[in-house]
Formats: sequence, structure tokens, C-alpha cells
Amino acid sequence: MKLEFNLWIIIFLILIYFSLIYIRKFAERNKLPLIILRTLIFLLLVFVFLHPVLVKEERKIKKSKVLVLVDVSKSMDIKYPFHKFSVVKDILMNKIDKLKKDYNLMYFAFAGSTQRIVDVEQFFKMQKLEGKTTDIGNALKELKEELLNNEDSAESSVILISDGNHNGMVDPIEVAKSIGVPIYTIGVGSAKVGFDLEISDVSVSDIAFRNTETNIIVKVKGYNSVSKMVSVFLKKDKEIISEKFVKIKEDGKEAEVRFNYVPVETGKVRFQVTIPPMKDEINKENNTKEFDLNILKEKVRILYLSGSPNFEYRFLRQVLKTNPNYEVVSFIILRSGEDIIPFPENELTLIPFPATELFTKEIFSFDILVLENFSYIKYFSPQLLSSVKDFVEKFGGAFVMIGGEESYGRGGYKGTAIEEILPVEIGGIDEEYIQGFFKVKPLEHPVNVIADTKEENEVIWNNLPELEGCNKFIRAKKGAVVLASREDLKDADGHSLPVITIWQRGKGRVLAVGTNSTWRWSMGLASMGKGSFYYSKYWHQLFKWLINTPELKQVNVLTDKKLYNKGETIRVLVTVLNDYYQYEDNAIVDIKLKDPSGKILSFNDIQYIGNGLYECSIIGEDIGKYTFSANSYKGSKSFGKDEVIAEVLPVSSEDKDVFLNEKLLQDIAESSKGEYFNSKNLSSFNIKLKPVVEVITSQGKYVIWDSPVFFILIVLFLTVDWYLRRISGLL
Amino acid sequence: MRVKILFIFFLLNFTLVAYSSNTFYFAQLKYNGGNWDPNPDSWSEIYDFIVSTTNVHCAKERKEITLNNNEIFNYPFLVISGDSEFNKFSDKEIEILKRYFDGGGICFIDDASGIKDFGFDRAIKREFSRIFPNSNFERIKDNHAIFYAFYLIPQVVGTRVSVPYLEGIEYNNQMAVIYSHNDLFGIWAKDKLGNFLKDCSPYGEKQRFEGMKLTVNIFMYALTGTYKLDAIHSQYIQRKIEEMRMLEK
Repeated sequence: MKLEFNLWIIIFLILIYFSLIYIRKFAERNKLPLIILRTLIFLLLVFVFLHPVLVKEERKIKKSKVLVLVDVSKSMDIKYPFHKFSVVKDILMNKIDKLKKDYNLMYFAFAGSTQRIVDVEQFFKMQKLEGKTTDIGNALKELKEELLNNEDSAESSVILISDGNHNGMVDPIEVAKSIGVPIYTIGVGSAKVGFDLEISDVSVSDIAFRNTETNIIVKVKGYNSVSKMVSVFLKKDKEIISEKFVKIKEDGKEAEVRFNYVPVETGKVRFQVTIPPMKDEINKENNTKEFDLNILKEKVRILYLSGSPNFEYRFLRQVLKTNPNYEVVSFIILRSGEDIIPFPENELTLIPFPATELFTKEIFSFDILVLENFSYIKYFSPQLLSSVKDFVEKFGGAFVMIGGEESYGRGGYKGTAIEEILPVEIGGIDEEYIQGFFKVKPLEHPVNVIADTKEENEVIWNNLPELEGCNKFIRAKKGAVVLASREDLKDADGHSLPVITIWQRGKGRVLAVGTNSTWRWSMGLASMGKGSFYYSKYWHQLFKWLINTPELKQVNVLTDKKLYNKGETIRVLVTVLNDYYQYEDNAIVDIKLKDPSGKILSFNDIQYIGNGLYECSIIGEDIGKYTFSANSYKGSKSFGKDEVIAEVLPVSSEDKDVFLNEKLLQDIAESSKGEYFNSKNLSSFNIKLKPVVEVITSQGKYVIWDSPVFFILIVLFLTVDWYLRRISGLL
Repeated sequence: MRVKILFIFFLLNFTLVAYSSNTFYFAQLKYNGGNWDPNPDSWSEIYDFIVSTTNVHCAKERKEITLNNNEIFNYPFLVISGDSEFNKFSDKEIEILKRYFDGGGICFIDDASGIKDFGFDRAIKREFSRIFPNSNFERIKDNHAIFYAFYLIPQVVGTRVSVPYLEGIEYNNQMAVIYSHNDLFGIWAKDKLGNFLKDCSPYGEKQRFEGMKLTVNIFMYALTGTYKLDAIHSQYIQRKIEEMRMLEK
């Protein structure tokens, strides 16, 4: 029980001080009884003014809580150099369980997830440990939540028994820093038995560029191998491409070796880093790590052939030159055979047109070929054009034909390999070229999106200036997409005449533009005060589509990792964007899996998790490649499809992690202000936690200042004061 | 024989009149005040020369452009010529020219007076400082693509050599304005009998030929941009320059 006052106490003390001065003055005149009486009255009044409250508390003694977290992952069941879990059982029986007389013990078992264990006996009954991951971070996070829900958490602590071979997703050090109670870690296993070398980590960017150096940083750990010089190989498709040496300076501490590799090919390439296994090595499975590198072209190389000097070339080149990732090599027919030059040849800057070299060999070093109002007839035979077909269909190159009076049928392409790859049907040499101005109507298609919103896009397309002159195609071929057409003219089927048409042909893509006057968009938009922005943007969009840039993909599927250990969960995420590249929340996403055996599975439990993201997962039980393909649509509108490959490796890290990761357990203890103990030396084991704690179980408050007792006392003292003064003749 | 000649004549005539949608026109600014056309027939001579020596599809028609409508935007290459001071452009005209360059237009200015900081030159600098308030005319470097666009140009000339270089304003990643102070179009001017009207000084006819080549290069630059600076061409051009130097020695 205690008395509580408010802040008036300070004022009260000041008043006492002045009262004492008053008493001293009256004492000098031998009027002590009166002084005492008045002081009492004064004190009583002050007491009442302070509004005193009587607080009544009931307290109880409780045991402190100790949460015991035991690692039951597969690595604890490894019998070399000794069976770790047997040691754990021994610790539980001889050390931990004995704490229950002083503490309230709560047991938890963890591997990938955490589970409450009612009784320690349950640990002793465990025969085989199957936990496929060791997620210490997640286990501590779950205990943190348990502690937050418990009012006594300040008087708790955690004991973690593990080999420290964490391979989960949650960072245990970060959780330990914020858990708010000390974590006492007990390391089980041996860090110093047997000789082993291990590739502990490989850091490399997922994407590299052709002909550009990329760094591959390999971390190597050694046990009982101090001063040993280790050779590390970098292999591509099992073939050695580089060898480096690294010296192990300290047991269990990572040494770094760096490979500077310059890729010459493009595409996805599988690499391995490996340490050749040594004779006495206790674990040879941790000597290799594999990774994939997606090697992209450093620059998109564009070969542009123009039939004559013209504004379409100058304007389009200007657009392409603004993109530093494009390298444009142009040939323009500046002079034809009929042109007579009145000056010596050596004063000209013209170079011969290397047609044969370009179309037989050089074409394959480019990514995009543009033929603009270019007729091959005067320069080479149609046989050379078959390489363009191969370039597109087999080598995945992109081909663009831009119109004009010497293009398409009029350029002599009917019956050639070019005709086969064009997305439009063309006429013969007498193909009609229609003079005059016209406007185009766009199709609703991502490539045609040049503004942020649908409304804005429509306004821009409606305001695009007229083009001039177009090639009259017979019709768009089946499978082609007509991005823009002119409604005032019809093709052979009565549809609007195609002007801008695209399609996929074999591995490559083709764009056919039936005019060479798109520069008018730039000048016309500028006349309206809009500069050349939308003109440039549209051509950039077309070129992005041609090179199949991921930026234009509306459906993107990816897995959280590329390589998984057997038994790990493969998380598949699909992002869906609408035509305006905004997150699509209401798409239907169909995800199919081709597993290592070739069996096709469909996912029924796809969850929408916001921001255009759809998710599903599967456990990688079988070793090999898992191909996930996602297809998304909304009503009849398809957003496209995408595919990703993940691979499950035969060895789980739980099989590889033989040794005790003492450093991690020390760091966890240190981060939470706890302490680390090795299982071999538990004599000093002490959890520095008060066994019992006094806990307030109930509390009551009673107001006493308005009690009649104080009123009676004040009246009584005033009466006595009056009486004393009367008999003393002071009245 | 007669029939054959007639047939050739017909073909030529046809190609001249059937202008395609992307035909190159000689577009010249017709401004107020001063003399917008000091060499009235030069364009026709330039046309004949370009058509007979290059693959540029040109129309034998001059477009006289005023700045009171948007017609200028149909012609991405514009010639401004003169020999004396002209009237100040209105704010609307300045805005049209700004937009023209925003859209990718290129302009060639020929000062037929050949007098720097006087008359026409002063008016041009006054108006272009309004169009490009943050840019001034700068000397175009000798290695600019203009000097390699079709011919190798060792010298910048006109009927005179008042300023032995071209000036220009770079805008939108291109030399948007090219300025000659040497009466370049004057070298093309002929009388009705086909004789050149103006003498070229100080190098005579050799200077005229250099001027012809420079004219072609400026037109080529307007149609092809800087492509002659691409590695594949510049290596070849470099070799040619070395050959030329050897011959000169």
C-alpha cells in the first residue's frame, strides 16, 4: 500500500520552509502551543489540497521464462564427425531441463519453420531429422512475436541450440538485434575436425554484356587448411576457361578470388566454379557452385541501307543516334551509275557499296537490318537476299523495310526471300505507289502506346500530322499485326490498307512500314509546339519491339532464385502490366510447369499479392530443370506470355554443412547481449537471468482527501486555538 | 534515230514532273525588307547540278516560304539568303522558326554581301539571337561531317573568301544552322546565255568549283546528317585525305 501525491508536493515543501521561519519567530515569544496548533492546521489544509490517493497493490512471485529453441534440421542428423543431435539430447537432459526448477521453460523445434514442443521428452523421441532448411532468422522472428504477446517478456531469455548452418531467408543477426531479450547460443558440432575446402559463395551480376568485362567473385573457405594454396577453376559448360589461386589464411574465414571474364557469346550460359577435390577432404560436394549468366549484346547494331539521300533517313538516324545503346552503320546510295561527276574521283568521299560482303558475311554481326526505299536490283542478285531470311529466321535478327517508290514490289522483292519474311503480301515491279497525303489509324497495341494514359494516347494519335505517299500492299499476311492502317484505302480483302505491320518470323521479328515520310510526324508535331518527342518515342518503341526488349513485355515470370537445393520451395512470381504499362490487378494468370520428367502441371492456387503480382510455389523434390510458363489475359485481351527456367540441384546445403558455424552463433549472442557457449564446454553455462520475479497482479486506488476525519481535525484544532488564545488573554 | 531521241526526251520529262512524295525541294525564305533573293536563278543551276551528279531526288521547283503559315514544316531544309539588312521578324515568326528547329529542321544562310557585322549579317545575328537566346554562331570545325558529306572540302569559299570558314549553331544534336559569309550561291548565277554572272576572287574558276562542291555537301548534310563520320566511312575518308596531301606535295 502506498500514498500517491501529485506535483503539488513541491509547493508543499516550499510552504514548510516558510512555516519553519514563522515558528522560530513565535517561539521567541513563548507562544509555542499556539504555533504548534496553527502549524498543524496549516499542514492539514495543505494535505487536503494535495488530493492524496491511497494506492493498494498485490504482488506475486513468478518464475522467469526461458524459451529453448532447438535446431532439428537435417544437418543436425549428420553423423560425421559425431552425431550432433545426440549431443543436443544430452545438453537438453543434463543442462537445460534442469533449469525448470528455477525457470519456466518453453521448448521449440525449428528447421524451415518453428513448432512448439510441449515436453522435452518429445526431442528424445525424434528418430530422424528431416528439416530441409535451417532458418534461424525465421525461428527467432517467431519467438519475438511470442514474446511480444507476453507481458513478461522483459524477464525472459532465449537459448538457441544449433550448428549455426543457417540457410534460410531471414537474417538472424537482424532479428537478434531487435528481439529485446538475451539469446544464449549453444554451438553443437566441430569447427576443427577434418580437412575441407568449400566454395562458400559466388557473387556475380545476373546480366553481363558481350565484349564487356564482368567480375565473378568467388569466396573460398577452408578448414584445417591454413596456408594451403587452393586452385579455383572457372568453367563454362564444363570446359575450363580460367584458373586462379587463393591462399587460406584462417580456418573458417572466407578468402576471395576474382575472375575477370569477357563473354564473347550472347544468351544464357551456365558456369561452374570449382575446387578440385583433394585426397583427404571430408566433404567433396561443397567444392563446386554453378551459376547462370545472361549475356546480352553490349550494343544493338543496326545496318541501315537507304536507296537515296532523303529526309526519312536523316530523321530516323537522328532518333537512333540518341540511344547510346544503338550503333548505326549506314550505306546510302549517294550516286547512281547514271550520275556524272565533273570532279576527280579522289575528291569524292564515296565508298563502294560492299553488297556481297554485307549480305553474305557482315549481316550476321548486326542485330537489325533496315532497307529504306532501297532496290537491290542494280547492286546484286536476289540470291544474296536469302541470307536476310536466315538472319531473321535462324539467327533471330530483326528486319525493317521502309517504303518508298523503290521499295517492296517496286524494288523487285516479289519472289525473293525478302517477300517470304515480310508481314505483308506485295505486288510485282508494277506495284502501285499511292501519292498524296493521308492519316493513319492505330491499333490498340503496346507498341503504339506513346503516352501515359489511354486518353492522352488517343489525342496524340489523332493529332499526328499526315504522311505522304504509301506503298499499296495486297494485304497483311495471316499472323501479322497491323499496327497502323489508312482507312480511306482498302486492301485486297476490303480491310483498311496496312501501313505499319509487324510479325514474328522464326526466331526474329520483322517490321514493314509502307511509307518513307514519317519524318513529317516530327516536323508536323513541332509545328503544333510539341517538338519531335512523340515521333522519336514511336520509333524507339518499334525498335524496342524488334529487339524484343524486356521493357515492352507485359507478362514477366520469374523465380526467387535460379538454383535450388533439392527440397527447397520454388517461388514463382508473375507480373502483369496492361497496355499502358500499369499494374493489372484483374488479369487471369495461367501458370504451367514442365517438371524434370517432362510432365506438365497446372497451378490452381495462384494468389494475387498486389501491384500486378501473382504468386504460386512448389517444392523442388526432383532434380533437374523446372520450366514455368505464364500466360495472362483479361476477357479476350491477351497480355502475352513468358517463361522462366529454374534448376533443382541434387545436394541440399543441409547435406553439405558438416561443420559448426561458430561465428554466426557468436554474432547472434552478441547482437542480443547474450552469450555463446560451445557444447563441448558447458561447465560455465549460465543464463544470467533472475529465476524469480515479483509481479504486480492487481492494483487499487482510493481517494482520502475528502474524508470527514480531516475536516473534524481542522475544526478541532481551530477551536483549541481559539480557546488557548482566550485563556491567554490574546483575544 | 529521231524516234529514239524523242523517247529519251519523254522519259526525262516524266522523271522531272512525277515528283515522289519525298522529293527534295529548294525551299527559300521570303522575308520582309532587304533583298531575300540576291541570286534569283542560282537554285535552278544547283538543281541541275545535284540531279546530274548525285542520287538526290530533287524537284525543279523553288518553294518560296513565308513565315505567316506552317508551310515551312513541309521542308526540313531551308535556305535564307540576302545582301542587306531586313525587317525584324515578328514574335510569331520567331516562334515558328523555333518550332521548325525543334522538329529537326536545318537552315543554310548565305550572305551574298560578304560583309561581316554589317547589313545582312547584323540582321541575321539579331534574329537568330532571338531564336536561340543561349547559342551564338560558332566556327564549324574542319572535321565536321559537312566537309565530307559528298566531296572532300579543303576550303570554304563563295564568289569571295570573306570568311574562310562556315559558322553554325548546333541544336538538337545536329548543325541546325549553317552560315556562309562568302556569297556561295553567287557562284551558280548565270546570264541567259549560260555565262557565269559573278567572278570568283581571289582564286578564279578553281574557287568556283570548290564552291560547287561545298554547295552539294551542304545539301547532302541536310539529307543524310553525320553518317560520314561513322567509323566505316571515316577510315576511308581519312585515307583519301592522306592521298590528296600526297598528290599536293
